[in-house]
Amino acid sequence: MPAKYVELKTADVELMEAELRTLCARAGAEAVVLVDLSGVILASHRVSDKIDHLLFAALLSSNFAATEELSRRLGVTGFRIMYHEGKRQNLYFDKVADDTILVVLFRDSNALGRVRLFTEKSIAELAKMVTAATRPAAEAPILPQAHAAAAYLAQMATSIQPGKL
Amino acid sequence: MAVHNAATREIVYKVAYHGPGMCGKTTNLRFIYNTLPGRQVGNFLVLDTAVERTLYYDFLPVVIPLDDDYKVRFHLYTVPGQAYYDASRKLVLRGVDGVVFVADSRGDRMAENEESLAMLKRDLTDVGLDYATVPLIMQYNKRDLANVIPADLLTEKLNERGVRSFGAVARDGVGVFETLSAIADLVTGRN
Repeated sequence: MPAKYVELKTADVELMEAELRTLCARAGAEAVVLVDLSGVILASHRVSDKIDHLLFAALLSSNFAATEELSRRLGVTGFRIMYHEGKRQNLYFDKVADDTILVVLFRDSNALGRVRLFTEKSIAELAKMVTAATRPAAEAPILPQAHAAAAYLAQMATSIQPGKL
Repeated sequence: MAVHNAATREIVYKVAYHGPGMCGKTTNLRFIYNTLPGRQVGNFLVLDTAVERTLYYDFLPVVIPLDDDYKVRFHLYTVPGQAYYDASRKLVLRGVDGVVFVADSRGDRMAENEESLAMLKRDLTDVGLDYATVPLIMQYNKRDLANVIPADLLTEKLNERGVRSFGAVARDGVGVFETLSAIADLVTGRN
């Protein structure tokens, strides 16, 4: 499996967000988020600004990846769903594609079966969208913004002189 | 896995700092966190053990805001160095765009450096990546301590690919931003 690159055009994200919006309404969820397993949010709906989105994505992805590693070591195949039950809110994870998961946050007043049913309905559509946006890293285009950021860090490396060896 | 999101005007790269236990991976991230202005770093997540060794990983998002409202993020992770945290290391290496290998320069740590490098090669294979091609930078840390091995010898023993390497004293910040800049150049394709 080569390293991959995900390119999301504005229209791609709008389609993903529309699907997440539909899922949120049908499942009665509080929030839904599509995360790749390297720890980056691809699209989300109603994730509170009180949550640090970057940390949230890093923790969700490593949480799910840990379960996958556990299943591999146990020799159990087909692990794709994970559920965390809280006092008032719950988290439901489902695998969308090889490197992408969908996470649904919902209240305990809502039935898990309803969340599961509508999540499964959305997975197929989301998987198509994610697959269409994913390509080998070798095909990644040159991004002038990324070069500008790297140039900025090069400048930082020159200006920050804590001492020489 | 690099992600370019035109809707949010963000480009994200994942970089892992790998190396033997107590070689200074977390110290690198801590210096970056303490040095960059607040708007350029997110919250620093440290998941460590009671003896202050990284158990799962550390996570530090570095954000470079650009003039055209674009943001380029470098998500920096450390892996746990100890051999028995094999599973945790793989979580971090999954989807990684670049690796910084932090070696401990002390002579009595060479065996740990070599063992860690062997683990890196194996772990990358397990997550579907190839050590021979993954963007890689070497950092020889703790150059201020007694009994350090000459950099040439570290290169001979550890740097078979001949990638760029930097001497460092991460505790004082020496070599930290040079290393970060070099891996940023590689993952973005600037150099």
